[in-house]
Amino acid sequence: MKLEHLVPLRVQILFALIIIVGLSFGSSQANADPGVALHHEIDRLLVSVPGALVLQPADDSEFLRRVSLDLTGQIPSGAAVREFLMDHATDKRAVVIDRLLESPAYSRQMQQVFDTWLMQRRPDRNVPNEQWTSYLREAFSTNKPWDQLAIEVLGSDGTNPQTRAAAKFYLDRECNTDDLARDISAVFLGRNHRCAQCHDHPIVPDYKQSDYFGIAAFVDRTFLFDDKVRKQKVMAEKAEGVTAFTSALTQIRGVTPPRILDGPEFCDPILEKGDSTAASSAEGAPPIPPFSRRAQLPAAVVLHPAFSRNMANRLWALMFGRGIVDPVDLDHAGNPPAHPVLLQLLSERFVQMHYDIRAFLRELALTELYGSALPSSPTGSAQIPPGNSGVTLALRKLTPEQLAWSWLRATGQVDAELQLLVSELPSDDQKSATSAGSLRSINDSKLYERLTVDAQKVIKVFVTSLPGEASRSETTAEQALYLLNGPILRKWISPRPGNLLDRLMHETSEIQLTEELFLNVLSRPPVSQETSWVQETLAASPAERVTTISDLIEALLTSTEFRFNH
Amino acid sequence: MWKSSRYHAAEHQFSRRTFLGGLAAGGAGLGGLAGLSRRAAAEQIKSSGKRVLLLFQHGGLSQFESWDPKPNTEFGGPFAAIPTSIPGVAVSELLPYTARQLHHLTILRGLSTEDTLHDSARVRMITGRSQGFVGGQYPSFGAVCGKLLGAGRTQPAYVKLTGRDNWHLASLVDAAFLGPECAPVVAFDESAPDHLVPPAELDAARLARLDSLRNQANARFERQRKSDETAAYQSSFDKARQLMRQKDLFNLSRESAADHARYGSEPFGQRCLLARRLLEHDCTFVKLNHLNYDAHFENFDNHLRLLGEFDRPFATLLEDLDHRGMLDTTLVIVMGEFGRTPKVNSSIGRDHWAKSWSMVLGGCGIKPGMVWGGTNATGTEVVDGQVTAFDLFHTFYRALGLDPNTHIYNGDQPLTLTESGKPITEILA
Amino acid sequence: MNADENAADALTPEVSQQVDPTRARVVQEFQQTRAPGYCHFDNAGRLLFVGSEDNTIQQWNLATGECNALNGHSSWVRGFAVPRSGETFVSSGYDGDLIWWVRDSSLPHVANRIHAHKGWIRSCAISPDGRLLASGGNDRIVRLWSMSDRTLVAEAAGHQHDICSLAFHPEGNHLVSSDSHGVVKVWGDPNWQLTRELDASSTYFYSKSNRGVSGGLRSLAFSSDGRLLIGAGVVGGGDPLGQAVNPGAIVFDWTSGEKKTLLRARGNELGVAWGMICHPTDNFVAAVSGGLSAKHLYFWKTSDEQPFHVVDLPSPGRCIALHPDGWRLSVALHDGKIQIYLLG
Repeated sequence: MKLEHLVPLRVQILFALIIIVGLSFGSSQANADPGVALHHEIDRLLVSVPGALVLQPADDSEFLRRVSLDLTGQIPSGAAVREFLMDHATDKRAVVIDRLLESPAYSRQMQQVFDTWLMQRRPDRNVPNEQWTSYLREAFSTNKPWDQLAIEVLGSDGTNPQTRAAAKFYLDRECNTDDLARDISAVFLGRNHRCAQCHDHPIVPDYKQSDYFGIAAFVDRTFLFDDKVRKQKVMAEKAEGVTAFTSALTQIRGVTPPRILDGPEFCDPILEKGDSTAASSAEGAPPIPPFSRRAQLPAAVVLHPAFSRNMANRLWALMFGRGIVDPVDLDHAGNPPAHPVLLQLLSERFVQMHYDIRAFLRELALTELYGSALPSSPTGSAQIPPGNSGVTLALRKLTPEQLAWSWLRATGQVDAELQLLVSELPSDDQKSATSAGSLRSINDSKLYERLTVDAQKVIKVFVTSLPGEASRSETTAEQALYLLNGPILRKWISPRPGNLLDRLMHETSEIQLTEELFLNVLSRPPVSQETSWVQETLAASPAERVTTISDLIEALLTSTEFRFNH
Repeated sequence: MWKSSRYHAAEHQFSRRTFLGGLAAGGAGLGGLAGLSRRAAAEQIKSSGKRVLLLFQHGGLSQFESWDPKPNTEFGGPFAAIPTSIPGVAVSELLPYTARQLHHLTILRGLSTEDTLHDSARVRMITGRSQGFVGGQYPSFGAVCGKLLGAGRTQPAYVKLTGRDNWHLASLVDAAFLGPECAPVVAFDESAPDHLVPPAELDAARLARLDSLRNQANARFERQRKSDETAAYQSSFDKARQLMRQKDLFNLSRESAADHARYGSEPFGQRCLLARRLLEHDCTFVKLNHLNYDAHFENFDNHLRLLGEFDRPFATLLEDLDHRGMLDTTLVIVMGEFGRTPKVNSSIGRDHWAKSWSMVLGGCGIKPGMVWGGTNATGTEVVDGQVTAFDLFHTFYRALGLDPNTHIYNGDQPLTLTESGKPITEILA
Repeated sequence: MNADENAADALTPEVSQQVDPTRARVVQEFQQTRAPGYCHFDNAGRLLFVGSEDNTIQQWNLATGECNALNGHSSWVRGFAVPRSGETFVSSGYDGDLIWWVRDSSLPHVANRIHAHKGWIRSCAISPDGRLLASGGNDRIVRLWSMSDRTLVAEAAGHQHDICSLAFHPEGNHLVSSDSHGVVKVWGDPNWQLTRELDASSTYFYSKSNRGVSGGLRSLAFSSDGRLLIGAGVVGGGDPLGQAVNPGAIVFDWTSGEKKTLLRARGNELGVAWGMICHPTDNFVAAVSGGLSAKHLYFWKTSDEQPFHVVDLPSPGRCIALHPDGWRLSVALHDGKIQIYLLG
């Protein structure tokens, strides 16, 4: 019976899903009681042990700014800060965490984060960016589990319009085996095998050339196919082909079947005579092999322990500024995690939570460490007691996206644009749209569309990695020149109805002005010396009130306090 | 030479305590004397006026196709050797123009540096250290020279010239614990950094007020939250302002049409002309990137192409430095991170090779027209004058009149400028 | 009819219909100490000339296995022009020299030498009537020489990049040159002016981030009826260093100049098709590749993208030559092995 040869791809994936779900229920390796909330377990490991950091709670404004940046990719509005500070509920931090996680901005933030991880700012090739980002946003708004998302991304061949966007990972790398092998292992498994394409990694013993090619073997037979019927590029796969490699250092040859690191090998089934050619399909359609190596990949990746470990570590890095394994794509024995037990806990619990990203982030946000003030570092290095694992909250720069969108929010461009959008609604709808809490009825996508062109200009200046590389953002004098002399910041500050300068210009009380300024830009109330400072500055140039306010806004926008997530 | 009264103050009123505490307070600005021992400060004054031109051949130039040709031997490749302006010394036929200027330089043929990985070998050849230390990196040669030689100069002490598409190579570890004031200004594609001119509505008074307001806004935050990254961010604005004042420095249209013709319109040639301009205007350290010499694939074709880009502009630059009387005070260094294998691989390429390779240097403090060190007939090992990376750095610092055993400070931890080694005294002037 | 003419006429349609590359097997093997760059049979099919990296031409006697070194060039020999008959042949080298060799004694000796180009000569080709020799290389000028008296007949300038390969059309009235950027120029008799260009720029790869380069058509051949022009080299891939490339060839329709077929390697085999021939009667293409992983001898029909037969080579292939009898191929490998395949 040839059933095993002819099982359609989608059934193979479904079978894999069943295994995964089954395994998740069965898994119970954690060294902790799954009945205890994860954030308590984390606190237990980090806070209540000898040598642990003594944590001071963060100010409310500090906490709100941090959690807004991490979960929604932008600072909170001045109004949101004011509201939070005046709220006296004891569970307000948990409530705001939940509110942020439910917001459309969360989906967009996760879309941006995962897009950067998966596609590394590559230019569009075969799947338009808009379709892909839409797909990601939808995934995060419905809280699609990570394993399911990974299976879709690694399992789609681009032929089905419903799932084509997910195939961008393959299609925009043009099915290039080397790009795929390297990026699958770095992004899904936390192991950047870049050097191992040509030889065993000379200084990382764990990264072997055979491991690199074991992953490559899943996709080696796959190629980009010009589907004349659908008039688009899709993936196709040959029925045959052996993955062989030669070490550029030793000249030793090797051959490998598909295999994820130390996981099981996937050998081709023995085919009966006549099966070796690709199953025939409609004229002009992509060939379909009787046995697909690539179809084995999603389940093989998801089932490997590195899969959950990698994402648990990456999500930790997102919230705390540094992975427990750092850098996040160099997990190996010579680069051990700062706190192995913590990482083990996180990896296991992530699986037990069925790879629920939203729930996992919620737990991280609820930890004492996340709610604490950063360790003080007046001399430039954080005071970490000797013997401590070094798992702390790190001071880190805003990402290019966070910076752009936070400037848009701080300067009141978001408010001004919202005001404009409301004014464009039919007059009957305008009244209800402006009432408190219902501004959300304005389509988040529409707002984004209006502001994104300018945002992308800023993002470009602050991204210093190349397309196809892991994201980096170094500080350069050129960025400072852009801020000082470039057109964008000036444009966003310039008064327009509803934006910050417009509101401040019409504010007669300097105390109110200072408060509005600080709440909107630095997401906190001013201290008294800062109010005096603003008053003195305004008093020094009474004839130039508007430009002085503008300069005050610019000074705060370009301050270190704004630039960093703290 | 010493222009700013601020620097005069630092120079004459120092105490040991001031020095040791200086770095923590952020230093005295560009090339400040803070963070140095007394001896280092004295040497710095002695070394003032010196410059460095480092031409870095990323990827690893093949010594067979350049400074140590072995024609008609087992590994020699197809290129012939040609005589040079140093009697009895030949280089590859791929360097005909440089061959005529070689009397300004000295060839080292006995380099043996252990490290054949790009990233770590680059760290070695750029910092003079085999690796970083726990929690940090050592500063680059450029950052150190900028600090030790750049005091009192108003021009950017350390400039890197690279292609915009090769940003990933320009951003290697640089100032490290010396602080962002020692970080380089990076100019892409032989042009000035963008946005050097402020908008029309911002006059000098308003620019000054903006800076003042920002600094005041930062003061409170800095009291609690300071890191290398925050310092780098703040310093980027100072650097930006400085570049705005000096925008003419990067303006290549100020150079003559004749010079443009001599250097050629290709990017590397233009980069060499810009390097000359920067050095002439008293920039302390100019690093010029050229790539990509990592010829694992079709090595001979690639070196034909790359040295074809390199040869004439570099020779022109050497000639101009000489004619302008700048060679005495400019240390010229040309090297990559390692050499290339004798054996040719299956892609007609050469792979990484650190066992026996070559570089050239000359100018300030170096005797010209010499060859130091040599390899065997087939180029597979050094037989004479073996030199490590650290010997090289000892030689560089000595040539500049600096003691490599000088300390620079990471916080309060004193560190020497390079690892232990011996300068090649025979080539020091 | 003398022996040479016999050898030359051995290629009859009846005989060649039995050539079957799927049955290709090694029938002879030689080993030289230095890597080969280019190989060619003599017109009688008794000798194989191999340009080697010790600057010599290794002359292999197929019958006896004897090898003699011919000294004359001062750099690598990368081209041969062998007339269909006669005792003279020409070699071209990276020293920029063309050497006329004469076999009037036990070994060929240098009869004449011209320093024909500045820098490498990467290719030379002989016209079908044996009267003209074309040469080209790194000085980017095609030069045509009289085979008999070695005078310069014409120069064809226009390439902006190194010329990699040359081929005469079987009718003898056109010469094609290809360069490292995938530009293909067609020069027409009688003045050898540029008549048109074909576009193989898709075979050129340049990485902006690392400035790695690869590509261009490394060898050219016409089908025997002159309807197809095939250029082999690199047809896909490309990484920052330029080395992760896929070997293959492009088949052009000669009349229209359009690309008809892209001849590809299998899967993601990585290398360059450094040498290629087009079989004169069966019009299949044979190419050898070497590089990161593709150490193969490929056989393609000119109409099919995928090879109909592939032979694994023990070492990267550097060059290939067709025996005058049409039955045998010589394949010279990076490790110095020379294999003679029988195609049937």
